[in-house]
Amino acid sequence: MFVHLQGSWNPIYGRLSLHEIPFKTQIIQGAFFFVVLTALAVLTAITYYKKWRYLWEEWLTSLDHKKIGVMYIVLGLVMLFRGFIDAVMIRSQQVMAIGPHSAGYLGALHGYLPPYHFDQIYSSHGTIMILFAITPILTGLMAIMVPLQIGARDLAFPYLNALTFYLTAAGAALVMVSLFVGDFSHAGWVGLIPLTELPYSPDVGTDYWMWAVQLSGIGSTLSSVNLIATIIKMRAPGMGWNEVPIFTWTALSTSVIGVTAFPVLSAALFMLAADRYLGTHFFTASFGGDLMFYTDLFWIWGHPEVYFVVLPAFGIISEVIPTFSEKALFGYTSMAVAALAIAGLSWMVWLHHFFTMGAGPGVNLFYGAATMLVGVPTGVKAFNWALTLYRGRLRFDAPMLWCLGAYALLLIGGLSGIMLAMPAVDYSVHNSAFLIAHFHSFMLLITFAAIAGYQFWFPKVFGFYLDDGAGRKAFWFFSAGTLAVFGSLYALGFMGMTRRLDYIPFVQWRPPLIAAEVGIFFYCVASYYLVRQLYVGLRDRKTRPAGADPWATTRSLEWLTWSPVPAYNYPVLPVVHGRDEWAWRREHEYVDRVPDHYFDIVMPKNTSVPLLLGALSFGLGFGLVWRIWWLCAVTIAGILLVVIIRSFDNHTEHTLSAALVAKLDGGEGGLPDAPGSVNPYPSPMPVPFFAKTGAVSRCADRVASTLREGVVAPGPLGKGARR
Amino acid sequence: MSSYEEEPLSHPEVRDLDVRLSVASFVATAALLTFSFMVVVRDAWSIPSLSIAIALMAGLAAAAQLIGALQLTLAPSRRWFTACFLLCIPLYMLTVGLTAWMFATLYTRTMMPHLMP
Amino acid sequence: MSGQEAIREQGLWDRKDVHHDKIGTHTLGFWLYMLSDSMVYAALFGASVVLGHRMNAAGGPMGATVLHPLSAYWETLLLLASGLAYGLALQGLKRGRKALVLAWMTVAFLLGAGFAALSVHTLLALIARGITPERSGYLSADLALIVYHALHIGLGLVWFLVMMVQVAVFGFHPNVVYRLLNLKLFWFFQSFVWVLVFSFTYLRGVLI
Ligand code: HEM
Ligand SMILES: [Cu+2]
Repeated sequence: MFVHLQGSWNPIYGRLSLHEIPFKTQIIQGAFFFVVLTALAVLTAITYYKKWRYLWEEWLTSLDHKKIGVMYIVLGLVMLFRGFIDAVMIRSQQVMAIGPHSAGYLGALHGYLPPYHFDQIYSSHGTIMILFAITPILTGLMAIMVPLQIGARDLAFPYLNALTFYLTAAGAALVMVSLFVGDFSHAGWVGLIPLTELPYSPDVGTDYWMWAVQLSGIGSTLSSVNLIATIIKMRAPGMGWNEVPIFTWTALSTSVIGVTAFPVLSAALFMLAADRYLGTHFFTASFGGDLMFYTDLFWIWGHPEVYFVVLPAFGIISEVIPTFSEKALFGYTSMAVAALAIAGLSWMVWLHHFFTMGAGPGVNLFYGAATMLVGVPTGVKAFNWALTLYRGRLRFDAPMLWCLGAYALLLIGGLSGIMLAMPAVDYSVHNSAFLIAHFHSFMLLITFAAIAGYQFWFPKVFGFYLDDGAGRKAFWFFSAGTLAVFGSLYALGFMGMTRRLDYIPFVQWRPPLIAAEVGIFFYCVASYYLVRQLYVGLRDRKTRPAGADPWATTRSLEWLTWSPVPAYNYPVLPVVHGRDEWAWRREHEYVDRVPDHYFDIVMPKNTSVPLLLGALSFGLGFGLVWRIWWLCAVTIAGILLVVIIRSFDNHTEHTLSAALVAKLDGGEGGLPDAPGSVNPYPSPMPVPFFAKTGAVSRCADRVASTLREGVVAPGPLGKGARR
Repeated sequence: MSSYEEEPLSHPEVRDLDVRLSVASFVATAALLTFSFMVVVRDAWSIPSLSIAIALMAGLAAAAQLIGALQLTLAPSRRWFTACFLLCIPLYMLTVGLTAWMFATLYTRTMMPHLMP
Repeated sequence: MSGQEAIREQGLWDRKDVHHDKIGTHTLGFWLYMLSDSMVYAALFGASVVLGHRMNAAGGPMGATVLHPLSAYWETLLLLASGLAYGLALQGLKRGRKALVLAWMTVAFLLGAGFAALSVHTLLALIARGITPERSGYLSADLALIVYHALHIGLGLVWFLVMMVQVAVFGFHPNVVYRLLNLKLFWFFQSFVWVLVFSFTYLRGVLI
């Protein structure tokens, strides 16, 4: 059954051999040394500061949704960095390889990247940015915030949460390994068919891409299951559907897409794998296969996927804008309905990615019209934000700036999307730089919103502020970069440039390409400020502790509990009285966070099983890539065995007694406002080591200097509501 | 509410299990599928009417499985299950139906018509 | 309702010691997972529609040469009977009778194993006749659907064994109960899919 391959294969190493390590290429050498040195530095630092045990007990084996969320975000940021390097390489190649007289370096005819290497770079750029950078960051934010927003102690399935994280991490690890062992796909992030079929890509690149995407896709499906179950089943007492915070609504609609669309991707990739490994003919060009069927399946997932990433971004914007406009979100119901409508509509537009396939005019018409329909709920959201801003008391803290940037990008990307939705227009700009500019408008919208979310919720999760000044500078440079790069790409699109060019035939395209390269420079400056923002925040953490309500005008439930958030989130589950519960309590001065009674709390125990399963899936992926069959068999058996053995463990939870909670929470005899400072309870406490010594102060000590006096109650000061 | 942990058998989903439904769905499904099997192997009718019969029986049998065996009913403990499934039905129709439609038009425009069924 | 009233009625903090319904959450979560799996089936059905034309057979075997409604019919009966037996086992669960559960689960397992044996047998027979997925797009699509379903049955059988041990060892622990309920969703969902496979792949398939 297994297809016959050219090249060598042996039963122990499969296709793997020493010369699969591309040590000839200088660029890869450089990358290799960079990665090895960074890894060494990190490992040495951990050893030197004796943090292994801490890392293992507090993070790697933790089932705390906040910690897993933070790990998701860290993974996403690391991959974002990698994807950014790819982007820099793409832009630099294009600016160097213009016209027949351009010079060539490092063995390339023009520029410094030979075509085959260039193709791998744009493929990994797309795959990484969409699936391993943006998606984990947003999933992380959802994993952290959704339980807090609905007043739950954790996600519905904490163990599954860790597992999905490690599946995503295993996928990311496969992508990273492909840098140094073998190579990566050269067929774009969409897996251009039939290029991904065995005769055209006999090497392992496609396999790396396929299995990495498969793993992370399964992770996303399962994490969506987790979120939906959480939102349906775990809402705090009193929280009906009308009181669910808006970010949670978008998390719900995103997860609906996640549960339904990702399996189609899995199916497509399984079929592709069958073609490559078993010699079937799903997508082959001969023997009755149909290659457009791959494109069809891919975009059945692909289009909902773009909404899968954009909806949480919309949710973040909908949380940040009201906070910094100091008023409630305009049109809550229409916002929630629009989010669900977008999720629904996103399912019937996918053919707009291949209008040019040549299906009948009726088909193109239907999909063109349906695509434009998506503009309606999106427009509803845009107008609601405008009306929230209208007559608000605007404050331009860094998160707000990032959101406004995202807002601008929504307009640009949305309008260019509507242009693309007309089949007649699309025939001329399909696969052009204009298309690239369109979807990057959206991808950057998401990036802007993700950064806003990170800066907005950081003080909540960690208990101290990030540096606002650096955050704003980062914003301005980032925006300048976006304008330069994607403004140029819109222009280039109109000038007729197609996508994925490793060599630029027309010298007239040079000026915009140079402008785009300058944009990259701005992005670098912005990254510097983002790092600086975190650094300054860490450095000054003791002097700048954030209260529970760090922005003083926040609204939803998550701001009600302590910052940093205790492991159990809420000492006693809050009763919800309306939309924007925290704003309601603040206005009515029910601002005490210390309840007068406590119950036992049941919490999941730490476990290393998800990490083990992630490692096994990585092994499985690696074995499949290199066709090391024994490794595949061993890992599959291992996975089954581990799952079964774990299912025999009925002691996966432990109980915190009410007395202990009271003490931790500052009730009877404890320290009032310092959760974690006297923590007899060893592991799942929230306070990160670097914040542990920080004086976690009273809530909302900082009455934001930006606040005009007397506008808002400065947050919970006394213990007034305690009766 | 915590009593389900101590008394799992008192959980509504256990209480609502109904063996009569299982039996009924078994009988119904088996009968319907036997019918369509018989008409097909006996070549009883023309192909179009056979197709319709198969689809009809399949629909009824599937409904019997969903309602009887999977208990997708409106009982309070089952509502969410039913709702989630109902929401998926349009997606099945889109995935299979729209795909079939677009390839049908594609084939008639690009493939040799005499190869078409 | 004014703030004061609301406070008087419910208080600010939960007073009832609300616990989340673990069993219900797990079954709902599992059902969502089943629905996501059903989208894979939808994609596979889509494949058999798109790749179901004569040209997709690439001159190779099609329809009645490949598919045998009679053995599929026996498979149908076995799977449905297995489902019925599991339904009876769940009746035992409702009554809290461990022996009943175990007995009927054994029956369900054996019937399911019969299904698996029959489908492996037919697949092997096909391969012996040189009818393999490598032959054409048509065969790839049809066999993928059948094999994907068979894989589920195989995993389900493993699950049956595990649950029988767990019932015997732990009795009706909440974890065991929700897993039994999940197994029900899983097993009956496979019969549901099989109804469609039997009707559309086998019966409709031989008509071409
Ligand atoms: C909401 C967030 C959106 C995101 C993240 C997004 C993303 C994308 C991506 C990634 C592609 C290109 C795929 C490729 O060829 O590699 C694309 C193409 C397209 N987008 Fe969007 N899009 C979004 C919204 C919209 C909207 C609102 C519309 C129209 C109303 C739209 C219309 C289109 C069309 C028609 C194409 C196909 C262009 C072509 O391939 O020629 N998109 N979009
Ligand atoms: Cu799209």
